[in-house]
Amino acid sequence: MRILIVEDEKDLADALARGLHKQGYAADVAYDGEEALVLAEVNDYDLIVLDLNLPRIDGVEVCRRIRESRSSTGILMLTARSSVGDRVNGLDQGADDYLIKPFHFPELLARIRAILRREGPTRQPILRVEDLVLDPNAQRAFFEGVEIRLTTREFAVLEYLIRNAGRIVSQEELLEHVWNEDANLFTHTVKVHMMNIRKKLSKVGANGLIDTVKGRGYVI
Amino acid sequence: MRLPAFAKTLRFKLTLWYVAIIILFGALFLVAVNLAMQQSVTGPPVFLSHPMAASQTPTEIYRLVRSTQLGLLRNYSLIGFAGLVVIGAVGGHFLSGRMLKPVDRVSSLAARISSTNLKERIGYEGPDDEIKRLADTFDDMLERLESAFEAQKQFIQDASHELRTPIAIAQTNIEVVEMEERPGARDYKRLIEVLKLSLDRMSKLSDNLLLLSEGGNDRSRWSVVDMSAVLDEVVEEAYAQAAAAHISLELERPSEGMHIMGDPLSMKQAVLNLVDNAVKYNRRGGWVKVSARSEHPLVIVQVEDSGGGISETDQQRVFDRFYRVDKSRSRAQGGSGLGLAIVRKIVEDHGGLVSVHSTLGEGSSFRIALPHHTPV
Repeated sequence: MRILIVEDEKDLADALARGLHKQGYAADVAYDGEEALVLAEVNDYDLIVLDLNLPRIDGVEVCRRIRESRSSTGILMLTARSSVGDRVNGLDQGADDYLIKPFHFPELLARIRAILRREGPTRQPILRVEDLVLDPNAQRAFFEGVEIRLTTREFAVLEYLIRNAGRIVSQEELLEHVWNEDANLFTHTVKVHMMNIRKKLSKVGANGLIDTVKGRGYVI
Repeated sequence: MRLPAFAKTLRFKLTLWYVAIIILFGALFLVAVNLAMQQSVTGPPVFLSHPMAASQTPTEIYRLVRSTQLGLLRNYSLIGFAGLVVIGAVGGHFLSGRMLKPVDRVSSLAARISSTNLKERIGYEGPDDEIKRLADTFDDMLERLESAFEAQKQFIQDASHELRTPIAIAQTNIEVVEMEERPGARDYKRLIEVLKLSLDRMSKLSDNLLLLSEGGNDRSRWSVVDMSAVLDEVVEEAYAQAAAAHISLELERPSEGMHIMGDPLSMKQAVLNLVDNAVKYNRRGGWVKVSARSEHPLVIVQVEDSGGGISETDQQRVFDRFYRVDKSRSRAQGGSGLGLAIVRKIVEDHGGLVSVHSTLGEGSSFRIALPHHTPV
């Protein structure tokens, strides 16, 4: 899942990016409203963490403009302004949820997961395909009760495929949603990760879960 | 019919009431005395009803008539007096109650008012008299109190909002490191750096809030201040900062005649804040000019810079608390958004004025005007 963090306080934005990265999300940072709109235009984010009080273009305006072009991106507002009017205005402009600063990081993660669940076909906090079970909260995967040890990036690839189960996902789309702007973007990267995931799956007896559709991508 | 203004006053009404009462009393008294006299005149002659009437000399009869008449007069006037006391007490009680009723209303409302329900008003509707004036003055005072409380509330909200940001930064950074399974020395080092910066910001903010609340109000610290000496100190203090930013700092001031009455420390703070801003929001290789001159009866201090200037809309708000022209830049420079608000508070506490003239792209000029102090 790829997330854009829009926050003008550099120390806060960078810490959020590091924390989200550790949780297996691909995170980019924009320090003002203008940069946020450019990044949101270029990349297909699953979720945007948006501070309301931004230089250049105000957060509420950023929210409104992103909603005009992208309806499916989740938006989580961050605000130090705790007045009801501000929050109502933000939600009315298309934000899915809000969090008041200062907040607890685990709560931010929980709210991000909740918004991402709403976007997907299933609202279950635990993802399941046949006997393969993924717990995005704990970042753990199981097959028939046996744990599969995946790296955060491998987990993210598998999570994205499961969230889009039944649909063919291209290598480019995986790159877009699992890796952030700083990554070296080659489709080769996806191939290597896919190979490792399949190896680990077959170790626990889960063969043939992921199909390759030649020239188009992968499907679970 | 329109009454003249004096006729509406309570004073006039009370006067009318008392005149009416006195007329009434006087009339009653006259009636009583007249009745007594009439009775003594029209009744049967006293000397006839007297047991020894037959043997009385004219002198004795005359005395008897006189004493009987005086006795009657005394009795009637005593009764009249008692009646007047009773009527006066009852009437006064009723009348003063009627007149003072609105005062009661004002005082019971005043007792109800607290900091939480300053919205209440007496809203007295009645003739334009002293009571109405009292009620209106009271309402005016409530109005002023309410807006002062509102301003205070807004200020506390702004200040707490300003405090939340460094707290959020510190908290998130701590929690992100906490979530790490095996945080390394680098993570801790970075965390400490961030925590230090956040603490700096919070302590600077609390210092500034204190400065802002104190201003230059404490008259016990006031003395004759030589603004030329203040400028010398400011320029000396700001010199290193300006040199580091490759900005030339010029000072132009007369050596005497620049005296004002005030708190030397807060005055220095005010000028220092202006110079600090002029250096911070300047271009590399730019200049800052600090000058003072006497324009009788004022002492003028001016701080000019070669920075980017301030737009017209921003100029109107730069002295507001927590207003920043360029938010990200101000924060990056460690600004609290209070510097110019402090300048204004200090200068106004000294009976002076601060103003700004600026053209975008050409720099800004801040001007402090203070009343000149002439030694006696």
